[in-house]
Amino acid sequence: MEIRQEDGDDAMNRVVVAGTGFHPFGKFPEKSLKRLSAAAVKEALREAGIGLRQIEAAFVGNAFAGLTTGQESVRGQVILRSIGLDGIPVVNVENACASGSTALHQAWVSILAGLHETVLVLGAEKLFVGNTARSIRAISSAADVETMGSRGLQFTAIYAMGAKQYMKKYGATIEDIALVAVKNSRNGSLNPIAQFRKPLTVEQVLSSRMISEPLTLYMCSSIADGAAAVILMSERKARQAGVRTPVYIRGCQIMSGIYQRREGDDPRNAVAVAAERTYRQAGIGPGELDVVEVHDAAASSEIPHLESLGLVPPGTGYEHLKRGRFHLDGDLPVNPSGGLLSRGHPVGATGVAQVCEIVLQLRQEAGERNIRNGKKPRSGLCLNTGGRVGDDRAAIVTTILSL
Amino acid sequence: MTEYKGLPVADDQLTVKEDRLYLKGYRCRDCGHVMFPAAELCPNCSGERLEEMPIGQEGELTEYTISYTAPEGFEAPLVQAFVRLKEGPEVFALLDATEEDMKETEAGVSLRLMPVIREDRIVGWRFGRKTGMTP
Repeated sequence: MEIRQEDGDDAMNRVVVAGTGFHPFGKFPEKSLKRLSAAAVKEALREAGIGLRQIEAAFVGNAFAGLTTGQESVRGQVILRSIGLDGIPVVNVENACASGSTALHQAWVSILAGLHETVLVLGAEKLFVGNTARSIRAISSAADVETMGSRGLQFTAIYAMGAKQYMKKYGATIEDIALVAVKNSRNGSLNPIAQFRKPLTVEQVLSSRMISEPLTLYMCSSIADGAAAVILMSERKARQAGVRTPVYIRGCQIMSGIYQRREGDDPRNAVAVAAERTYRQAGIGPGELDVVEVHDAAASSEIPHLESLGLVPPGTGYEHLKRGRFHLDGDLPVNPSGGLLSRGHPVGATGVAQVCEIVLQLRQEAGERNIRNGKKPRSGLCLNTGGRVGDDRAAIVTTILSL
Repeated sequence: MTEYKGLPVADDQLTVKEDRLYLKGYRCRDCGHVMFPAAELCPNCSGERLEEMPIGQEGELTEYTISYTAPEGFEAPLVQAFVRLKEGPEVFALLDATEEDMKETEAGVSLRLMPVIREDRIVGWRFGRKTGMTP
């Protein structure tokens, strides 16, 4: 693919990720959405070297608090008030598992538009509420409830059916798919905020409980609590604030699904289209990426995503995986954070966490999980997807970041 | 063929015609595109002249999985599937089948629409194997 950058590359309009922060992902029955969020925001502010009052606007991504906690409509304001932030525009963003990255997109747009120069993006989710059935039901509501969501559908089943179709079409095996979970568990074991920090073997993955055949427990992401935050700044503001290693958002695209063009089936699927638009916007092509975070809601979704992103040809992904290309020491590390499988998937926080990971990797501040292939990473991509309508995902967000 | 059995239908997505149960599909009068669920404009040609069209008595299994956990109100194991209807649309459906039945069931097999009956009312649908069924 030949990449030609679109115009509009004005220094005033370049957006920097100035700070990242987390509350660890996992099971925290005693902590509310407010407390989870506060930890992430405080850390992001500290890293950006600014105070609360310098935040000009906030975009808050959350998918299910309405159904899991009963807090609807003003989730962002309620959370932010608890950490002393008021008197600014607060936008509540809900877009299934892509809520966090959609909030990031909107915050980025607000800086590009010249409305703001310092913006908070928060993604937070509370799924351990002492009632697993309620949380599962909430997740099912991310599909059209008239035809799927309230008719017995489970997201793991969708991934399982996709896995079976891919295996038939390309001859991949369940052992191949287990290798994704093994890789991501090793990465997760090095991530202090990860929900699951035990490295797994192929045997452990395959022999864990069957959830939706052929996918076993360790091939499926779990429910989680957690929060992630970033501070975005205009380049000008970032310079004034003395941001040490500015990482820029070079492109960010948000898409609905494209129905009847299923991933794995049609090379013009929605993930591929979103990616191509982002490559053009960023002026950075798939061959120039050094690290990626993709939406491994199930182990079987990682490789088809890499193929849709144009990183490897369709049907070849597992061969590249087996050659070690996607490991931390490979030439294209994938999900160095541990991904949704091991870092965890507190739905609204996931998209923001992916961006945090790429920023840490580009700054080479990811500690033990810094990619180690001898190259200094310059560019990375995040793919965050969510929901289900008809035969496709409901939301797709691709973001390219670079030094 | 799917008999309606004369029971009241308590599901917005289902319809009855000549004592047969159907999914409530829609057809574009301009381009002939068939859709499920209902749409207000044709996604194919943006036409506004849509008419209700009973569809979905027969379909073909696209893919299935057996889930060993089930959402509230359902019982595991649960056979979850996508079914390509004869008229074109693909729908999510649970299959009226056991794990044992699925050992001999492959993608592409013919399926028929079946009512889910609770307290003498039709409250939903499933799909089941066509062969050996009556009438």
